[in-house]
Formats: sequence, structure tokens, C-alpha cells
Amino acid sequence: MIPPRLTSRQVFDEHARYVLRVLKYLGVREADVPDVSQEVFVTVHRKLAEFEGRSSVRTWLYRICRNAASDHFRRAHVRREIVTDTTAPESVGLDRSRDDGPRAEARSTLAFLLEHLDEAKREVFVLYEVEGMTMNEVCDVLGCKIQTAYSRLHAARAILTDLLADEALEKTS
Amino acid sequence: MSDPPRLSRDSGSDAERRLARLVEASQRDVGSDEEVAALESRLIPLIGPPPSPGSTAALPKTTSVVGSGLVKVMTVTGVAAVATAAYVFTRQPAPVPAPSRAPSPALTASVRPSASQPGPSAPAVVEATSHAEAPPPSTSTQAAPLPSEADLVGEAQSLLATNPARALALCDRHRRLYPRGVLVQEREVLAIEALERLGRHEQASARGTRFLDAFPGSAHRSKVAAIVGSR
Repeated sequence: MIPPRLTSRQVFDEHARYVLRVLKYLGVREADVPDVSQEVFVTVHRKLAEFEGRSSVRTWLYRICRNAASDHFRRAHVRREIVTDTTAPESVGLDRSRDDGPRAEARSTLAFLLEHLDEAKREVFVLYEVEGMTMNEVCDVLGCKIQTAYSRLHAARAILTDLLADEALEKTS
Repeated sequence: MSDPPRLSRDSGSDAERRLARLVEASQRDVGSDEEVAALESRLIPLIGPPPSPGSTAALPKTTSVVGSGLVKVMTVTGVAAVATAAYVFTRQPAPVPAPSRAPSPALTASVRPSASQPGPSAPAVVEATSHAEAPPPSTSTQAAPLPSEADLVGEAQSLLATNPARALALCDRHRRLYPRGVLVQEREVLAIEALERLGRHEQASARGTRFLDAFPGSAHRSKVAAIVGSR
């Protein structure tokens, strides 16, 4: 029996929050996320008939998000969000609070830390640690070898923990 | 090769545990309902209405009178689904929306052009010959509301089989009003099909060729290529 095809509505209902989150991790500014996420779902609608389910919906969506973000950066000549503007504190501490709660604060802090990684390492770290994909899924999304993904993850963790350790030292000194 | 252990708040160095806590908290940050509702309201012409009245979407009032049959229509992917839903859902007594170059909040119930940058680019040749209709004077009280993108494309789709000339005219109007709209591809496919149905094969083929040049990765490519290739 052929499984029923996904509809755009189903994709939206199940994955809208994932898309919003991924775009933010990809560096799309908060103010631009609505426009870019709209483009993501327009693309989803156009290409849904081609989606054959060989990969998970999330990996498929991640590729679309990645392309949409890339197009956005290129087209609008906007920079990735760098959270080192005038509102950012000097340290990377957890006091990078905004008004939208501790979870958003954690995401904001993590996003700030992630800006210290290059794109390749950041993508592996986000997909594996934050989004909980398997390494095979990560490699499928990024089109890299598994050893490469392992290496990037290891390096990403090292950089991030160093940043946090340095900050802890600063606080105690 | 097995996956490496994931970060855990219960093991590793202090910094690793702290990083794990940040990751966990971030995983629970699933975005606000407002963000999702705002996105949903933009996408209703594409994705259809929420599945239940309890949805967070800020629906236009007209949606309450449309049945779930439309959702079934939406499951047929492609221009028809977009257009049909868009046609129904964006029929509302809205204030006069501005053309796509100056998006208006009045367009939030339709697929709205991106505000922060040019929308998905239309075929270069098409854009070169298009010119946006002047928006109605803002001070006029007699100006009729401009149709949304989805209105125009939806009506063109509904008329394609019975009145391709009218469908083509609607596509041309969409091109003037929304040269950089998000439904540019759908409009072009409809226009190409309308030209074909009108027996204007050369024009259909030429427009199809321009489409293929402009949108090499389009999901509509095979359909357009078939029309172009049949010449």
C-alpha cells in the first residue's frame, strides 16, 4: 500500500518550529526569519511532490533551510547574525538575557557561542547535539564523510568548552 | 561506526556539563506561538487552514465558512492547489494593499512578498518588460482593493480550462502588480499553459524557454520542458 503523500499543511504543523529554529542557528537575523521561513515553505510546497521519503523530512527541510539562508545572505548582502553588537556583554556569560525567558536566553547564549565556530563545525554541532540527528543523518544532510563529521564535532566541542572554561576563569579571577 | 556520546549534563568537565545544559535548554526553546501563528497566517494560501479551530493561526474571518473540502484540494500539490486555496482564503474585505515592492500588513493573509529584500526573482526577460501598476492614491476613498497575488493566480487557475484568454490576462496583471512576487513561478506556468491552450504555441515555447533559463531548479521544470520540447 502506498503511504499517503505528505501535504504542505502536515509539514508545517509538524516542523514549523524546527524550521524557525534552524534558520536562527544558521545565522538568519531574528527580523529576517519570517521572510526566510516563508520562502522555505514556498519551496516545500513546490518540491513536495518530488520528496520521496528517502531521507527524513527533517534532513530534507534542513537542506531547504540551508539553501534559503544562503540565498538570503547572498541576495540581501546581509551578514550572518553576529551577536557582538552593542547589546552584547563582554563575556559570553549566561546573563545574555533578553525578555523572552530562560530558554530563549539559553538559545541566545548558545547562538553567541556558535558564532565562534566556522560554518562546517557549527552545522555538525547543531545537527548532532541540538537537533539530535544521528551521525548518518548529519552526513546525509551535509554530504560529508562520517570521519569528517566526527572530526568537526570533536573540534566544535573543544572550541565551545574552551570558551566556557575561559569565561569561568574570568569570573573567578 | 557508532555515534559518539552526546553531551551530558551529568558527565565531563564543568565546561562540558555547562555546554550540555545550554544545549538542553535550547532544545526546549521551541519558538513562540506568536512566531508560528504569524508564519502560518502568511502561508494559509499555500498550506490551507489549520486542522482544527484550536489552531493558533490568526485566520481571516472568511476561513470560518470554508469547509474541510479545501484541505483535500490542497493535497493535490501543484499550481491548482495553491491557486484554489489562495483564491478562497484571501477573499476578504481587506484594506488596499500595496504592490509587492512595498508590502502592506493587509497582505498578511496571503502569501506575502518578502519585506527585507527583493522576492524570488522573476525571469529576467519578464521583469524587463514588466512595470508595476501604480498603487492607488492613499488618500482616495474610492480606490478598489488590489487583488492579492494569490487572488490573481487562483482565479487564473480556475479559468485556465474554460477561458484561457482571461487566465492569461490575469497572469499579465499579476506580472504588473507583483513582478517580484512569491508566486512568480506559478504565474508563469499558468501563462505558458494558457498560451498553449490558445494555440499560441510559439509564444508558449518562448516563454517556457525563458522560464527554464530563469528557474533551472524549479519543481515545475518538467511540465514546462514538456511544453517547450513539444515544439
